[in-house]
Amino acid sequence: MGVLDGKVVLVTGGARGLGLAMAKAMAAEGAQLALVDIDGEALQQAAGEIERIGGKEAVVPIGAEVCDPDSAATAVHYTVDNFGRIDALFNNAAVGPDQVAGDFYGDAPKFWELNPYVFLRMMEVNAAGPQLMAAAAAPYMIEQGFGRIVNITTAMDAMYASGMGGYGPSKAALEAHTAIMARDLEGTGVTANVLIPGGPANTRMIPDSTGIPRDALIQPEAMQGPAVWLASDASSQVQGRRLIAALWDAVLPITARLEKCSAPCAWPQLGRQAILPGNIRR
Amino acid sequence: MDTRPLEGRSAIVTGAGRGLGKAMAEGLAANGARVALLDVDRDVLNAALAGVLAAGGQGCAIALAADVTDEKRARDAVDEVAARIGGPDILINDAAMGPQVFGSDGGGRGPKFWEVDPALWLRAVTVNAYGPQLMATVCVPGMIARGWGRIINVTTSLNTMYLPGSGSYGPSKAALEANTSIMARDLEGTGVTANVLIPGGPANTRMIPDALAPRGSLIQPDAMKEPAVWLCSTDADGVSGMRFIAALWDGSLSREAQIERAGAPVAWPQVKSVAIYPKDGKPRIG
Repeated sequence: MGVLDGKVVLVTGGARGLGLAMAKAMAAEGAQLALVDIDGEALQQAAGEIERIGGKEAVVPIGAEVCDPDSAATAVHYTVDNFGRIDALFNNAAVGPDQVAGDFYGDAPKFWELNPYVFLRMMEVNAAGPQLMAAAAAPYMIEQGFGRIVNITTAMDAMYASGMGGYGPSKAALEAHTAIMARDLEGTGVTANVLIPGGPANTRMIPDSTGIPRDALIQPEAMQGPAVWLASDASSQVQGRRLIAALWDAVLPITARLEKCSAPCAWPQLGRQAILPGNIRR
Repeated sequence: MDTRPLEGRSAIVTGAGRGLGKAMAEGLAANGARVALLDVDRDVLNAALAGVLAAGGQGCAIALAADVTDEKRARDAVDEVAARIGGPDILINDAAMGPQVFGSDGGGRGPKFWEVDPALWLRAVTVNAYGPQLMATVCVPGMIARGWGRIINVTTSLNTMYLPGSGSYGPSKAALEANTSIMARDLEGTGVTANVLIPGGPANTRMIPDALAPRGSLIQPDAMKEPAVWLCSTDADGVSGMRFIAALWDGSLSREAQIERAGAPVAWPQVKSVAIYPKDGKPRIG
């Protein structure tokens, strides 16, 4: 018996890195997985790994481009056709800073030296992709009266770290959008939250050329505990939060654990908010 | 007090056909700058040009129809500006698709995220976040070569970035806000600055429908003029990576008091949650 028995989870960017690590942990807890990726070869291999954990019926690999409206919607519809429902969507697929430079912490290009297309591609995949996937999945989840949308963004200061092109800005957009999703979903039984590793993680996004030893990075497995919990029935009251996997401390009772590792999505703590005419409430 | 502090400067204002862009173009022209008005909507450009010429005098402005998301068109437009009025020394990224294109009432009521047309959501991100990146990419090498320049990005209030019912408007502005911080950091030591300028709340432009509030109770586009002119003046040399709120601008204050009152660091560095780095990592953040 697992805490995710009967749950159907779609993970984008599920063929490797954080996506695959989360998928494996959820499969081990009984979930059925729809793995979405644009890399067909890696996807088949990842599906094989999930199969070894949960059996043949536990996984379906779906080749799809998350920022193409038709492709994104088809991935969601296919998941529902195949498994009969969709309980959780992990928007994990992203174009990483490794696409900008080999050592973006050191000798990185300035913003005007970037190929403009790479910036645009990051906005499309990293910010629009999650919207397109969530827009397709939300109606199913609302009808079920249960659903989880988990968006993988980045640390608040990495959103404006130079040398990573559009990576940070695209994640800032997704962070803000998660707060919007959470508001829109209030009272539906569906939640939207952010989950981040909490710093550079041991994935292909941080290449060896950064000079950081692999074992000094946050390991993808750090995502597993909070991912399983967010996908489960237990997280129903958590809405519009950002959870930091590196601060997830399984030893603590859940209230203390959340207090330690989470904060509201986006930046509501800041002052200097919009000045509104007296009659407007929002 | 210098009455024409922008004399000799050349500026590009995107989205200059109406609203805040038009007001800022007028403000720049009235203070001596030569201004290129860019807009995707050719129909509004001529009327806007007449207003800017009236503010700055004959020959002070040109109008170009251009889509800021089209790389070739953006490069051609900047080349044309350079040939006709010099520079550009100043780039104001004002062009944007507002909440109104998604059917928002301007106050947070509008379609849920799953009801929004996917192509429209994507398009607004492209215009609002990628457009400024592209324009800045094209303009900045010339500014650096000349050792002086200004990039002003118009974003939105920090809590409007996650206001529901407005499609990708808020998220796209969050991306631009973050990118302004990156621009400022990358431009350190070049003489070129990058800052954010926002009205500070709903402004009297087409982005806000009549039903939200009486037009007179909104922030008027003219509020953008003084801070925009100041940011483009040599008095603002060295001011970079800041966000300024036009509604809080008070022309009677000293430079320092003004920055204190209307300014703040760009983006959200005050939020405590920051990345956990390995001890031997080399982050370029802060």
